[in-house]
Amino acid sequence: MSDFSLMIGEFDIKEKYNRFFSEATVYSYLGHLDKKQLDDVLIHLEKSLSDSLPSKIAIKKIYNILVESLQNIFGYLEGNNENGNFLDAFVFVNKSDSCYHIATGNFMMRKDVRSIKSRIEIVNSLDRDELKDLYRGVLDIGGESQGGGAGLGFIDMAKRSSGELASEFIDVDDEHVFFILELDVKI
Amino acid sequence: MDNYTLTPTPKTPRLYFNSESGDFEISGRSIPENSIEFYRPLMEWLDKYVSAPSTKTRMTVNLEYFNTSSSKCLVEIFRKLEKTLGNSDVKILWHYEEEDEDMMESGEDFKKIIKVPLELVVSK
Repeated sequence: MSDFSLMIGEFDIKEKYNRFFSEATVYSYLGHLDKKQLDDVLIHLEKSLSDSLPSKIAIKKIYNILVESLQNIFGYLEGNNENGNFLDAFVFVNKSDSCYHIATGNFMMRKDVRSIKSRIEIVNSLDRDELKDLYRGVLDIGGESQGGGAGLGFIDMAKRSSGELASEFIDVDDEHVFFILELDVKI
Repeated sequence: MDNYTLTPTPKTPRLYFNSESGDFEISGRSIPENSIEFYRPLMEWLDKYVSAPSTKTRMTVNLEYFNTSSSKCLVEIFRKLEKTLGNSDVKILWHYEEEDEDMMESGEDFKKIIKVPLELVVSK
């Protein structure tokens, strides 16, 4: 890991990252998330999963969710022309009893919190069949979403995970918050 | 017209589109950050194809991974094929591994929202 400054005012990303680190960690990353790093992360992630997960299907499930969430974050940071320390993000895959716990953390603009919160609230309020219907509906409409993505990211993640998407928004400065997203995947 | 082919990369699929035989294939991984840009040349090629399609069009989709932005592009590709209905015997073969329920479900999603016949095929 590169030795960059991790403090922004009172906010310390390393401290948040350490919260998730344990003996059960299968994969973790903390650092910038630009194009090259994203590619490297995906390569190392897949290798770590292949080394420690029980089956090809388990690897596929976890990898699928992480491709979606990391590209979601990358697209967001790129779209906002973020630079410097605000490009830092982390990702975790931790094994727990009967499932895998995934956590991601990234900076975001305070002005975007409301729309992200409402997307998460919507997917959390739906059961599996309703999520399937919503996914098909959005797929059927076509076109790009406001964020330039497909508008399917959170729906896809919710569909593939078990239980709710847990989110936390931590104040960083006037313009930025730090967004932590957690979900469980049953294998 | 020429065929449209592309060799696979770790993030993008093999594309094989034969205008004469109507054999089409998308296989491997489709996880580019910018799917719209990646698929644009294929979309343009398909626009030409649908104006004079082969009597039979068979599209094999055999993907290990695809991201949500690719799924939007797949819908658009399938919708282009809808334009050949009536001029070409067109069918999509959606392959998935037996235990991969997510990939099977994705095939069902597409089957529900497009008019081209789509057959789910279990890869052994």
